[in-house]
Amino acid sequence: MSKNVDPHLRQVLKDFSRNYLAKREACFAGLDFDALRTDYAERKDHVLERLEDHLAEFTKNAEARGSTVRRASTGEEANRLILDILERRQIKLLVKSKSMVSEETQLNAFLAEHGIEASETDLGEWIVQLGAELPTHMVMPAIHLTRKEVAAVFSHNLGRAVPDDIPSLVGVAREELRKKILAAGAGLTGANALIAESGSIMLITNEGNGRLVTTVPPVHIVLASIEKVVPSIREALGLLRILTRNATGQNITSYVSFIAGPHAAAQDIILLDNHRSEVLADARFRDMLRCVKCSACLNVCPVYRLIGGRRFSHIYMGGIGSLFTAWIHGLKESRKLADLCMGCHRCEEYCAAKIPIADLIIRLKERLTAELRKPFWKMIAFNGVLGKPGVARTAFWAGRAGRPVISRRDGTARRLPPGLRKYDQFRALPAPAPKTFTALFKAKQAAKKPTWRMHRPKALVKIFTGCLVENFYPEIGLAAADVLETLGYEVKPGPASCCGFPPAGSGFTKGAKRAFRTVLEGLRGADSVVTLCPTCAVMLSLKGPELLDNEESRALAPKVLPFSSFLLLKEGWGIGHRFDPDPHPQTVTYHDSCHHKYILKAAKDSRKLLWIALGREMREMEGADSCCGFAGSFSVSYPEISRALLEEKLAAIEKTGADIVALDCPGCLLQIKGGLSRRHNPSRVCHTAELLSERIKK
Amino acid sequence: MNHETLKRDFIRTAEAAGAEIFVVADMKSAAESLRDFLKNLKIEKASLASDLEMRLELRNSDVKSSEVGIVRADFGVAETGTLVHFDADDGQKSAWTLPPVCVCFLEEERIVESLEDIADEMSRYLASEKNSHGIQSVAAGEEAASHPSLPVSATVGQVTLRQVSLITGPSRTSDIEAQLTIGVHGPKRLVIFFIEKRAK
Repeated sequence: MSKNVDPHLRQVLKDFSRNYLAKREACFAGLDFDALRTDYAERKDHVLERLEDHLAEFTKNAEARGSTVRRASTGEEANRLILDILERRQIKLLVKSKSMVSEETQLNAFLAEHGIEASETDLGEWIVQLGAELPTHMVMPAIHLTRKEVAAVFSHNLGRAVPDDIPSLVGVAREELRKKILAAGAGLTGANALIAESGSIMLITNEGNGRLVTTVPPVHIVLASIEKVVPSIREALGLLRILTRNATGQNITSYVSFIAGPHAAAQDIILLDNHRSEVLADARFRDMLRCVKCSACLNVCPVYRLIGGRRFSHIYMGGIGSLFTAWIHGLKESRKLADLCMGCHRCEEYCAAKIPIADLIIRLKERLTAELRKPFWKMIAFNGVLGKPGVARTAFWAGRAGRPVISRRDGTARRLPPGLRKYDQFRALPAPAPKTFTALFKAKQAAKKPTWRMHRPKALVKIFTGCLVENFYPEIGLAAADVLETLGYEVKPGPASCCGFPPAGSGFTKGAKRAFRTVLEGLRGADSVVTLCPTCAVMLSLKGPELLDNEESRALAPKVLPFSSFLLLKEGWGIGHRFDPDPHPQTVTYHDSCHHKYILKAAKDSRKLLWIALGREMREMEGADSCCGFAGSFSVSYPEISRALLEEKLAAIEKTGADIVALDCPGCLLQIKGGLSRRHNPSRVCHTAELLSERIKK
Repeated sequence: MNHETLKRDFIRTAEAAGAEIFVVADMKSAAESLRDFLKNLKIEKASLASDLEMRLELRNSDVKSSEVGIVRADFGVAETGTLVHFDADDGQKSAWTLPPVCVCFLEEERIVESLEDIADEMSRYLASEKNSHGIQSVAAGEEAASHPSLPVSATVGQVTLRQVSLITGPSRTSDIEAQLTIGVHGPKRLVIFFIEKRAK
């Protein structure tokens, strides 16, 4: 498949994502999404603790009703059981209403080998099946096809010309699929829930095919995975309430059926394990079993939105798909998906089941690096350089030494050699600054005249700058130090080494732990640690303590705050009096950095601070919280995706006409500043700290 | 929540979901309106449950070739405009799904605020042994017996299906170019006769 981003698909998915967000917001109006999903997640966790008991109850009640219930430990076994049911009854045609699990077991291909036709009846699935295409989306599999393409697929398969307007296409599907449903010997569905107390299944559809497939053919086969069980209808209704709203932005779908027992000849229920029991036994990954398959995580994923599910899948799609793939279809197959996750954590904000998807993917990457061959460049970069503080310092020193060769007059680096153009064609890369933040800060302290302090300092704050500010943007560090000192804090530079996140985020735990230990030592004695890069803050307060799991790292975590949050928390609203309003106010637009917004939840702090301190209304850009495409090593692995995301971001910025782009992450700053520079756009890109230090009263 | 609010909410949400609603005073006027409705559409073949057949003075046709299915809902849900049906026999269930038009009677006093309000009823019904509606479950067995691909011995005498169906608006899909289109598998029109007073 093409490495490039398909423009048609990109437009379709962009529109889809925008509509989805609007519809979703409308139907959650008046409801507390977070409370609903927390409630669902807690209930589901209880169920998972006693999964086997609930399955036993479900089985007992379904069998009492006249259904047959069987367990299959692998996909192959499930396929064989279904084949056996069909062959015993001499059934040659099976109609299906969308069942993800049957895709997981690749049932259609298996039955075809044994001379049985399995026809999808969900319109999108059927189009994809007829066209021998790969699905683009879990809920909307044929979203990548235009009506003309669908008409061509229909015409080709039905041997007659089909008009290419949508109502006619839907009419053709109705007619053709109705014939199949009436002729089929069995209907197969999945289940959105298996309800233990009544031995019933819950099935959610919009088209009505679920109802037809379960009630017209005499035999109904249910293929569902074991984690779908819930104790009672109350849990099923709780799930329904959040699922349809989060999946398609509907208060409820057109059809929901609760079915207990066979309607005619038989109901055969197959409960598929396929390694789910292993997931359940692994506390580090168990959360993923709460997944309700709503695909909200795909709808909001910046990478998915560009490349779609055909490239971002191995049967299961996207980030959550990488996790299911790892267990069900193998670690090796999951690598491509895990690598495509840029770690922005946006999906977690929208997950109906409150699954820490991006965190679980980092854990998966840890397994991938431990168990599979590691990519060579990452091994060097993460374990060999960033993971070894001494080596990293030497490397940055060498960069500075080479500055006369690398740097151009405007501070950007010279163009990369032709083979590497894809990395700097769309954004100018910065050259290392002549001096590091630490060196500049110390020189400034030394030059200060000794003065009598009027007050004791409020607290000792260490500024942890991170690699980019330390080596490329020391002015941001100086600005932050200036603001903090003016407000009465004693400021010291933190350790000038990598926090350990880049190795950690790619699963290189050895390098990550080594880097983090050095940082931990360097931060001893501080009352507070202020970070200028949200990703460093995530490492120091969340990921690092998780990796080292010791007293000292846990004690550090609560002291760490991003710059804006620190000021708001310590100084409160009164901080407004410490700044002079700008006599010539320029318009500011704010870019939300992913980790700043989705993990630290600090985006509103920055906006509030800029508003209080500078008295400025933001001119919001469209998609302020869409990733700029930097994402650390991701932009090295996938420059074409990084580029596409940046283009969208720059277009949104230019549309606002703002003079200044404010942000809180030096990585985003590198990307956006570099992009604007290539477009010869003179707008300033500033860290919040820089804007504040310009206006603070001395 | 009082009846008026529930009624207003139900009508609003059901219409938003694409259902057409006629408010009628009682079952008698519902029957008259229905006759007019069918006459206007020139519908001759209707599929309906036996108890409605008498009331509406309509003959039941084979559901597979019917132009309209006439059904009754057990509950209406104001929050989402959903019709709830506790169905046990195939004839009635197919009347909901197979014909291109579905006409449903719903009595005002059967409106509840949310699905959670009838969770216990649903739960009891799904777990119950006896058919609470007293409807004979023969149609299913017959259909199975007459199905060509099945050996007769495979059909089970005792069918104890319990199904609760929630229906909200007509059948819909957005699978082509994400454009909402009505009537892909189920009915293209869902018409609700909302009966203000309980039929005597």
